[in-house]
Amino acid sequence: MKRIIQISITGGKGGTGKSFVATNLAILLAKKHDLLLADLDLEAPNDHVLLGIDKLHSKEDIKIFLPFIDYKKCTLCGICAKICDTGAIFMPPKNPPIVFPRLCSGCKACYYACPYGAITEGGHVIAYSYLTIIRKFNVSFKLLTGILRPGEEHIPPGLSIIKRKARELAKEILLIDTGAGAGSSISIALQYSDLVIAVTEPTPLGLHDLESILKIVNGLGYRAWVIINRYGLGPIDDHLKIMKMYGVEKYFKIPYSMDAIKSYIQGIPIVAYNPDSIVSKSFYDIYQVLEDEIL
Amino acid sequence: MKPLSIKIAFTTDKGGLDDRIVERFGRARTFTIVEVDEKGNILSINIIENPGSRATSGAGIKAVQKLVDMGIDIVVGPNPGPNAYMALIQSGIRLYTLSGQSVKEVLNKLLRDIFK
Amino acid sequence: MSSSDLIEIVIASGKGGVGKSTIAASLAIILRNSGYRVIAVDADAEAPNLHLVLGINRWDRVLEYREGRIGFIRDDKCIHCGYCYDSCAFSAIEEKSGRYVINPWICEGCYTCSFVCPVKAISFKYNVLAGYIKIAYNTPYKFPLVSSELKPGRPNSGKLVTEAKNLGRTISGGKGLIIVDAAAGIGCQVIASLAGSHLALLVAEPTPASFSDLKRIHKLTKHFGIPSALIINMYNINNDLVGRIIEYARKENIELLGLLPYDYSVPKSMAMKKPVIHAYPSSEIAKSIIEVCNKLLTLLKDWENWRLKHIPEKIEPFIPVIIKPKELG
Repeated sequence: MKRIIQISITGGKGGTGKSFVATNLAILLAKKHDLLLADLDLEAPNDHVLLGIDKLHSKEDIKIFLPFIDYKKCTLCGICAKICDTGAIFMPPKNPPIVFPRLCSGCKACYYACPYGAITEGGHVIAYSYLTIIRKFNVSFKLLTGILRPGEEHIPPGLSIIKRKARELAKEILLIDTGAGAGSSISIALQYSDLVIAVTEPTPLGLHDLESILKIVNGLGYRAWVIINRYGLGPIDDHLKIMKMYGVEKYFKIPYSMDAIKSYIQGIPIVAYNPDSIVSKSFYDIYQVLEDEIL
Repeated sequence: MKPLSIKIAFTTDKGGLDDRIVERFGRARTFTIVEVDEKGNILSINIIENPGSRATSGAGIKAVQKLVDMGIDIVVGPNPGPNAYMALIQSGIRLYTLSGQSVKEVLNKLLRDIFK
Repeated sequence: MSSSDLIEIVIASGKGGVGKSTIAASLAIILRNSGYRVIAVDADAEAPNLHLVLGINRWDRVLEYREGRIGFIRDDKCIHCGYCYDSCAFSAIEEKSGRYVINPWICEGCYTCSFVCPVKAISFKYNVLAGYIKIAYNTPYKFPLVSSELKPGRPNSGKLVTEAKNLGRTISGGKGLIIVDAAAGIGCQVIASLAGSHLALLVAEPTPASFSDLKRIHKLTKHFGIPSALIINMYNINNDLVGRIIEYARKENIELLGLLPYDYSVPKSMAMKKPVIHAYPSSEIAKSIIEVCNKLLTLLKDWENWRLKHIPEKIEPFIPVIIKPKELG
């Protein structure tokens, strides 16, 4: 059975630079390796934006289980409505249950709980995935993008499916952009990581979220590195303490630079836009250490 | 034959006629249920806990489910969220959108409107 | 706005990292200094930042918040059939050297695996510690702060947000302005942040992701019938998109409160653990924030009229895409 290496880029709050790091590392890694970059920020994926990609390809529906009531078998016992955690099943007066698809998390508890087998399996499209082959910046790699349908509330079930897809599609390296957050969704995105790289910034907000993320990574038992993005904006003494407390193996600094902002607006990752920039050099250093120690 | 009665629910916090109608539907702490007869006389007043206030998600639906299970005919409260709104439509319970005022005041106005 | 009124203003954005907390903090301070009674609530439980922007680190009360269930597999009963692994919609069950284990950082306690287990080897821990609600009654800014915090790895919770907001209302005694810093995104925790609010202050930055999230969250405020105002943050990074966002706001009857520039003073002031309007009062951003607040103050003085003019018309909720099972045809 093939064994891929999964490197996950995460960081807690939005705006620290996860996608910035993920896209730049993707380009450096893709030079010598077969790479799949998976953008798992389902509420606002933007790796493709940073890569200057206008059009995503190979759209697929991401479907989860949706209960359908078989009115011939339903006895109006109401057990399905009672067992449903999310309030997705509603019993109107003297009538069979009504299902609210947007509240349904696809867990299937109702399906198994119904004593009369009156629940059948239908589907509900909650998200889409796109697989785009990127041939730009002198490299070639695949980008898997997940996006939640507007109005859908539950991320974990759709994310779980897209994550599985990513692991099946990857051939050598799977690079994951987990998106923002420190809840159970991030745990799903991080699952099975060989290495987690947490991106933070030298502010109290960055510090707070670094700690939240490191708690999860520790709890999951994965190796952790840290990248301090926008280095120079503020002190990092507390960040260093936290990193030590949570057993972070290594940390890297990416300096604050107008270059990075310019490349962001252009839709060209900085390692391609300006390979001699001090920021690009930092990325190259990180890439080197990845090659030596992980790959 | 049981005489006609109408059950009216108000979204409340502590509950009771002196309480104000709160601006939350799904997560209102209590419902104040007033049962009136066919002439508009008050038969009973009850304060019940809203299971939606304990829910982690789908609170609005659970609130409406409780109203259905209790045989409520009319509910007075704010606009519920999109899901609870659909459940209300399916349930046949009539919604009067009002909040902030005292239960007593609104009840009197409502009874005047229904039983004029 | 009469003195017996309570108005809840929620600051929301859809996308994270656009400056909600910075704006919420500044608003709370300026409104308080203008004579309003203010209560600040941080409803962004996954990444509560309001207390950090304000430099508050001492709490008068810390309440435990418990909810939910986490499953665990009893090794002595498990027959390693793997049905639970196949049935979990959240991929919470992992296989480690022949053992099946429920990952507590993912499990939402939905019971499904316990239904499929042929030997009833799965039990649940109830009333799990899922987070905290922290209250600082007396802050240096002369308003109380209620902060909600989800424990890392727990599922998102609308109930935690609601409890924090309820506490805010209790503390307010029914008077004043409640400033709510909402969670990012569009899930149930955001819906809970919006419920019961009177005014939605939407924050966007001129990026495609933020614009699309602005539209999504505005759909939610429209459904709740909450009038909206807009602040465009970091406007000088992309002028083209700024124009399109302003046009969108105009069409949707969203009041444009103002544009804030990208300003290095913001992260610098955060490192100092001070709000930017105190740390760098003569910076471009501080001046712009004050202008935006003045506009908000004018709006509040004429609250009833403004509200009536900007209440959205009700719209249809989002339509889900459903696939019927073949048997039911």
